[in-house]
Amino acid sequence: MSNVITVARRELGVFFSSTLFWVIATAFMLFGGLLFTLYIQSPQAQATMMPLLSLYGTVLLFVTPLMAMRLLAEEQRSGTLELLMTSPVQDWQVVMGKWLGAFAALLSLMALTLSHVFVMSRLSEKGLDLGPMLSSYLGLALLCAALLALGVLTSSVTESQVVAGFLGVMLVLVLWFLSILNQIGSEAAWVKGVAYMGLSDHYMHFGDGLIDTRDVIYFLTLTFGCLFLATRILETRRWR
Amino acid sequence: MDMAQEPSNASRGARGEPMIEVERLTRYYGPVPAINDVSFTAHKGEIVGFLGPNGAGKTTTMRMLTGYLPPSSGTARIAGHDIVNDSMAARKLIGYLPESTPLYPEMTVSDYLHFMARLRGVKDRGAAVERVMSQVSIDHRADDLIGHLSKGFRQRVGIAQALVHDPKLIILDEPTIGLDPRQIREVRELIAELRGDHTVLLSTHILPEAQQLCDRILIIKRGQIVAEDTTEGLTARLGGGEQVRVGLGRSVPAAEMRAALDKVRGVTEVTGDGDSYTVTVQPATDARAAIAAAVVGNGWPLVELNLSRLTLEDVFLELTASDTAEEAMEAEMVTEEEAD
Ligand SMILES: Nc1ncnc2c1ncn2[C@@H]1O[C@H](COP(=O)(O)OP(=O)(O)O)[C@@H](O)[C@H]1O
Ligand SMILES: [Mg+2]
Repeated sequence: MSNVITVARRELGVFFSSTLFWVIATAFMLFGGLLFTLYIQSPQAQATMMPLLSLYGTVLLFVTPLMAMRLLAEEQRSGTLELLMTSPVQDWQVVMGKWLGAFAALLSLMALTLSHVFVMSRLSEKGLDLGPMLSSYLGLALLCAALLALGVLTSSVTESQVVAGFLGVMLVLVLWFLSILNQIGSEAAWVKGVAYMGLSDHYMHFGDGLIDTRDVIYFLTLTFGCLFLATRILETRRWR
Repeated sequence: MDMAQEPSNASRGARGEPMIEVERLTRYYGPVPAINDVSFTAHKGEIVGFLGPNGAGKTTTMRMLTGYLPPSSGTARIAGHDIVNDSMAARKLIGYLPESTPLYPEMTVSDYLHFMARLRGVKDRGAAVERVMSQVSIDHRADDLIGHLSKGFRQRVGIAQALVHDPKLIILDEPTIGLDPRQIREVRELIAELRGDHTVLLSTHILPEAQQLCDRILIIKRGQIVAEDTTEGLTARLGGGEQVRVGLGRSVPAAEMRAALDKVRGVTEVTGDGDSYTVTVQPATDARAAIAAAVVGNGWPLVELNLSRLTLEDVFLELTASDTAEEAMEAEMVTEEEAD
């Protein structure tokens, strides 16, 4: 575990000292803040977490591939991965550490969104319910975890950050919108099955204050499945 | 005999315990073997050089020893730990500098070394980082970003990270490649200072570098070790010994000369005739005095007596001599490069 933390700490430090991260952070707050302001001024604004949740989710679809694309691709390009992987550290610890560092950086960014929640709670008379708010933030954290793991996965297959980022966005968008299949009203089992793999429905469930273990399991499976795959890919890339 | 005066460093090393034991190591990339059935041993305290032209398989071998590449077949042990089955224990003993000196340009020297020390499980990291930074004379750049350093300084940082956990074995893949002559000298001095405390395996395609730094040289060509010996031994073995040129003031019949010199200890062959002879003697037996005595004792006027050693460069060229003219030229170019 301490090896994972060591790798993660370095990664976190790199994020906080990188321009890209602060550009992302600024864009996130500006863009998110703008949409938020427009929303709370609109007549149908309600003091619930639902709209905020979908707002952050949409932004994250683009932010996470940007953050994760560098993680393994750049180490493979520059050769630093060779030093990591010849240190007394298991391959999965490297992958896990990279993901954890990015996750910590992204969570710190998400913490900024608490300001939106605060504003919203002051605007409504009875304030926000604590329950939906906590469940929403759990959903948000799980979404961040899964999207970053997808980014780590695409970053493991190539030495090019650009390719990794592009693959990441494609994969994330496809997964996100699979849920739309639920709305075509088909009862076919395969349609239901494929739609169930979609991200957005599982994610939006967290908005109403109820935590369904199936949703939690979905996100955890996705996260650790991707990290496992990324580890295997790094291994087989050396085997060739 | 006093150890310090022992002429052959390898015989000193051979008394130590084995640090690297490689047995029939083979590695394929696709259908082509990059390393084929390679076996060797490096002992504690030795500096062993891997000498060979580009593409010979030096990097591939080092990557297997450090646990980066799995071997296709064969085994290797680092201080008794199998590199596949006991990889973590083996890795703990190794400090490794890969070929292109991969570093993180966005980190400072000190942060980077702390990171590497932590990865290798060093307890007192502050002291360890201080120690290696002063060892490679980079203390004054501790807070600089690695990306801002010159190539020579980056190479020192690369060596520092290989030393930070005070490993028993240091593996350096072409540590002087791409440096300017002054930087090359500095790096070589650093490596020479490691002698004794650590076992060092270094690879190079530059002959004088191997001659200067290594106790023992393994010449590797197309994935196989074609020669393995001490610098002196290798030269002697290939030439079949040292040669002494004998020049006389007047002509002497070859038969008489042969009869006289065959009695001298160490002489294996006498060629030539008239006033000029070439005497081959066994390696490392400087028989010049005895030859001179024999010649003069017969009343022949001795006017010239020269010991000519084959240089390792001759050995290298001969051993790696290629089938095609193109390859031969390439091999020649690397031996001529940079005679320091
Ligand atoms: N990843 C790889 N895939 C395929 N072939 C490789 C790979 N790495 C090295 N080789 C080949 O293996 C041989 C040995 O390479 P290498 O170990 O790098 O030699 P050296 O370090 O002595 O220059 C070369 O012919 C090289 O082309
Ligand atoms: Mg090489």
